[in-house]
Amino acid sequence: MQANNLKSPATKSGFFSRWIGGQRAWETNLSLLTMALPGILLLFVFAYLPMFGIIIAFKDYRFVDGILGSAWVGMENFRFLFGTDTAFRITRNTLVMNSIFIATTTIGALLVAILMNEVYQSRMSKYYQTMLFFPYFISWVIASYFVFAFLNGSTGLANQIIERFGGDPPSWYRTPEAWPLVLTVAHIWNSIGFSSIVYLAGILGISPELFEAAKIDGAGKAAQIRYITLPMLYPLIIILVLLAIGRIFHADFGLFFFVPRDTPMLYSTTDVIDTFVYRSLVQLGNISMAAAAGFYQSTVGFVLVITANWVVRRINRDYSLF
Amino acid sequence: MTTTTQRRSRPWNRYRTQAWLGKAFVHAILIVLGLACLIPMMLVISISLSDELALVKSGYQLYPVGFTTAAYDYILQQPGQMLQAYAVTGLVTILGTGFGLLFSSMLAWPLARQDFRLRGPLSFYVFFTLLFSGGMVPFYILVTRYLGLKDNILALILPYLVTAWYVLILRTSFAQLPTELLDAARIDGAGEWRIFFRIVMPLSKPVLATIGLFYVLRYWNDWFLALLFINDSVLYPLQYLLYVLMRNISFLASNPQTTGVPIPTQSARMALAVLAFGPALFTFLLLQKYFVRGITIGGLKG
Amino acid sequence: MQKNRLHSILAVLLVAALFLGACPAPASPAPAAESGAGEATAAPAGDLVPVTYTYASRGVPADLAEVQAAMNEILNAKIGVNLSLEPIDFGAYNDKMQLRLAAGEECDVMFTAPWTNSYANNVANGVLMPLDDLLLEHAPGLWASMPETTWEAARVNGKIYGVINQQIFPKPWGVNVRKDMLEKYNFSLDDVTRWEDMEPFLQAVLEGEGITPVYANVDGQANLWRSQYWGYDGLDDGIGFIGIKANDESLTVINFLDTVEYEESARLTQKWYDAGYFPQELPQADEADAMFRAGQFAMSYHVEKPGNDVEAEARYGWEFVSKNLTDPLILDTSGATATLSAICKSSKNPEKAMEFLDELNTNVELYNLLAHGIEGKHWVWVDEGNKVLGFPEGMTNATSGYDPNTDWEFGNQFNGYYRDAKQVGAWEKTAEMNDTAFPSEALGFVVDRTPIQTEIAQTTAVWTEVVEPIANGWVSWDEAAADAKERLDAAGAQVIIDEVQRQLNDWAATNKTK
Repeated sequence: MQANNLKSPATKSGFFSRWIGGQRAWETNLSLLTMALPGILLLFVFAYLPMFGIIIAFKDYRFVDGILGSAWVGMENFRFLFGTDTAFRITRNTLVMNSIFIATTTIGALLVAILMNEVYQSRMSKYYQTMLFFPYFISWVIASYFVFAFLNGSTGLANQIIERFGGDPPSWYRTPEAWPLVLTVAHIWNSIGFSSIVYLAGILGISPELFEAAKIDGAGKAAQIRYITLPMLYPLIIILVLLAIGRIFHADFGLFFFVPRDTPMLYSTTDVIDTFVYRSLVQLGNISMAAAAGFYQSTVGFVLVITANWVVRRINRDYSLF
Repeated sequence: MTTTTQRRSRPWNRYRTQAWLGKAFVHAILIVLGLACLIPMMLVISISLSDELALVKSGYQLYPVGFTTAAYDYILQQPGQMLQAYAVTGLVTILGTGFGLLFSSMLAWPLARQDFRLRGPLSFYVFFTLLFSGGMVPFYILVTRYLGLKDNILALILPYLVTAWYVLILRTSFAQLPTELLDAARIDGAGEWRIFFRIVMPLSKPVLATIGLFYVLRYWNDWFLALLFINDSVLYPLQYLLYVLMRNISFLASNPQTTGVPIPTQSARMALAVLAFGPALFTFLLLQKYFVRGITIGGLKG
Repeated sequence: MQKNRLHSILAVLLVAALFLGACPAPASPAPAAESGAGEATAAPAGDLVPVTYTYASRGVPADLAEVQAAMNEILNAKIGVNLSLEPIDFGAYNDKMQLRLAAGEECDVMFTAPWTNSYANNVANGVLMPLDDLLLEHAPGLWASMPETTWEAARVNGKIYGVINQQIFPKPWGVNVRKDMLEKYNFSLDDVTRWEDMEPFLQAVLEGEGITPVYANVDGQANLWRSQYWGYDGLDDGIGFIGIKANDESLTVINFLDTVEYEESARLTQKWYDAGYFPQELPQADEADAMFRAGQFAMSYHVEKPGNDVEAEARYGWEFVSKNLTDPLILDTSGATATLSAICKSSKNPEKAMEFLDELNTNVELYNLLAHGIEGKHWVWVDEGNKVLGFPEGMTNATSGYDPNTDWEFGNQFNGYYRDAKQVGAWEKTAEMNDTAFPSEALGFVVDRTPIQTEIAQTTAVWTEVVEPIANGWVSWDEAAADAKERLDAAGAQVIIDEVQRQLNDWAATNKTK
């Protein structure tokens, strides 16, 4: 780029052309912009145009008055979120559970991707990959039946096993302490196939020559993973974690609502922002309040991800999101 | 092929045994994980073919108890509608995945380029859509009133065509492509479009297959867009039809007005799941052949 | 390369399509008149006025167009209306209607209820047309078909916004017991008047059969609190924890948690739960139904409306004996407004829409066309004298081209034909129940939720969390009630009670003085 700058002196004078970096760079940038254009437009139409609707969160939206015609009410719609002592609990549960999910899924998915890569030549690998994807097709509603069949007090398999070994079986649907674990296992089970495949694709994209060279240098499997596989995956890991942080205030409603069967006795660990909002508004159907909750979740996620991105930028500019 | 060369170059027995043990260990872990995923799936199939009353007594089993196809018979009363829904979903999935992959890649490649001046702002532009959305009502008004896409198959395709999450993963992957090859092409006088289609895309098969798979799943599993925009039952995609069938079954089961055969709700729920994932699984197996290792510079030249 | 060119061409085409779709956006944000698109089969001839009727249905019946044509034959000639039917699946009805209304789309007549496409919310959102004048001018028959007290139930802030579909209004909570179990344990319902009278039977079943006697699932609350059974009018089911004693002339709004009845109900439920009469962990509705069918429950409590045995048998596959335990029966606003038809504010022809509603509720032939389809094609007389119909030879509800099975949704159910000989006389009995039920002192009062939205949201969430466990007998009243009250108050319970009390006083001042 520097070279370009020197070679093509002011063919297009002024700030703009200097910013772009000369004729050749101008053409390159133009081509790239053209290429990006359909995507930019689609996002503009389907994501940015409706975004003006965010103002609903600050209005008393009455259908008959329309979005613009409804009255402004300031922060009134946010009040229900923070008005009770539940606010702290749902925020904590959402943050803690999502943090656990991000950590366990990232590590688990990396592990599975690496294992899968080790046996990639084997005919079996195809079946593993397929099987790991099965849970993705099982909705949380259906999964809740199996969790119930496994954990329920009278006929549940889990308690039969515990009894067999002389343990004292807990009443799972009355024991909130057990649920962070249950939900984490359910989440890993559901997402591992999906997440690991991204990393597997990343590993498969690494040039085999790198591994060959390492082998010649006498690096064992562990060393190869540590010095080649993981460093090559860093950008991908960081981007995925950053994206997950952006949505850390949004909980997977199906998981937290259906799997614990909306049991009040479990709320102390299973109630998250999304389930709370659902429960609060199910009778009212208040669109403004729902919009306010969504806006709150997005804004906090936005702040968090900007911070995280700033930290990443300080460490390595290339890895940052923007 | 690579394994044979490895073996020849490593004649020591001790290492081979170690390697073999390691592999066996890896297989063992993956088999356990795979079973944890396979068993619930088999339960779904087995329950869908079970007699509900027998099921109450025996609990869930891996084989159908009191084998019956009653749930399928009930759901497939109008097989024509089901086939139609498969066709709609198939079309939406193919078009959506094809164009989605194309446009997302075309957006991701400039974002991956260090010499693209708008890289930062545009990355932010893309990322921002992941966090904030205007909600259902403005989206609905836009699509139905201003785009006029109500009861139009495009309403099932266009909204998901460019998805921030996919674009950013593609960008990350594109950014790691070896630069020498691109420089070489540039010296040969190739334009940006040519570089993109002839070098970037072919080199990125694993990630394209992955994102392609995500697109397939997204379009295949979607019922939300249809809930919003489709009233004409001819245009019902599969998942929406199944969603509606399930809700109707639940409703009917709890509000029976006349004597009749009790509806097998639970096995129907499972049967609907089987009807939903069966074909998607097939697509998944088809796509798998693109997950090939070693698409290297050398490989491309040959 | 060939492939590349193809890619570019396709890309250009799609972008072009996008723009063509995107450009002709209307300059003025006038609501697009497209809600009836795709449904209008016959173009309105002459000066017929088009009216759409949107309602919830189980799929789109195959023969919908024929039924619509048959209905139009009557309507065209009689009131000059060209009707188009717009059934929307039950599962999607609430979401779709709320979106359409939120987006300001045009509609004429629609189905609304407390439980789907919420009547109260629609009134609050201002999307419903006030019907008072229209009813008097354009629907005299409909207006006369119900006593004025019933119409009062649909009145919010002085205006009627919905036409009540006549059906059962009070909620006769009672028991629905398997006949074989009653016979086996030699138990008679004759002497049963309260829940607790069932206990000897439940104990016998528990010991003798080893099953959980009482049906419960996660959806229907697993407890014995039913406001009407305990003599209360719940005022607004969406709020849940407030009410008045139905015969309290002072109209004092109370928190249910402060009443002895609620405490009694909670204690009794806990007794039943601890004794094992209730399931220890609640199954989903479909699991519970399958369990009942497999004989793992012996009874359920239910609204014991006339003809209910037939429905229970269809659902659970057993012969039932049932008895109403709610005495006196209470007629409250929520019971009377269980299903309504309303006219949208956006309707261009509200007068004709009202004439259609008049016709639908008073013309027996028209109503039964919509409810059961065409005679000879979708149904035949089994017993014309008693108005009992059945499917034609060889047809079932699965193979019929038109069998919506939701007559309660369309209008006056008492105009309907019976579907089973065992139901004959049920309408008369139901009408009698409606007429003899004790009208709540607050009958006709509807809460305006607008000023207390935040508090309702907060208390709804807290209610499920702290009160449900008490009500369901999972925790003891003594341990948890005080704390529950405190949490409910912290969430704004008193604000709601004060506001509702104010509204109720205002309402009484204008309505009770007569």
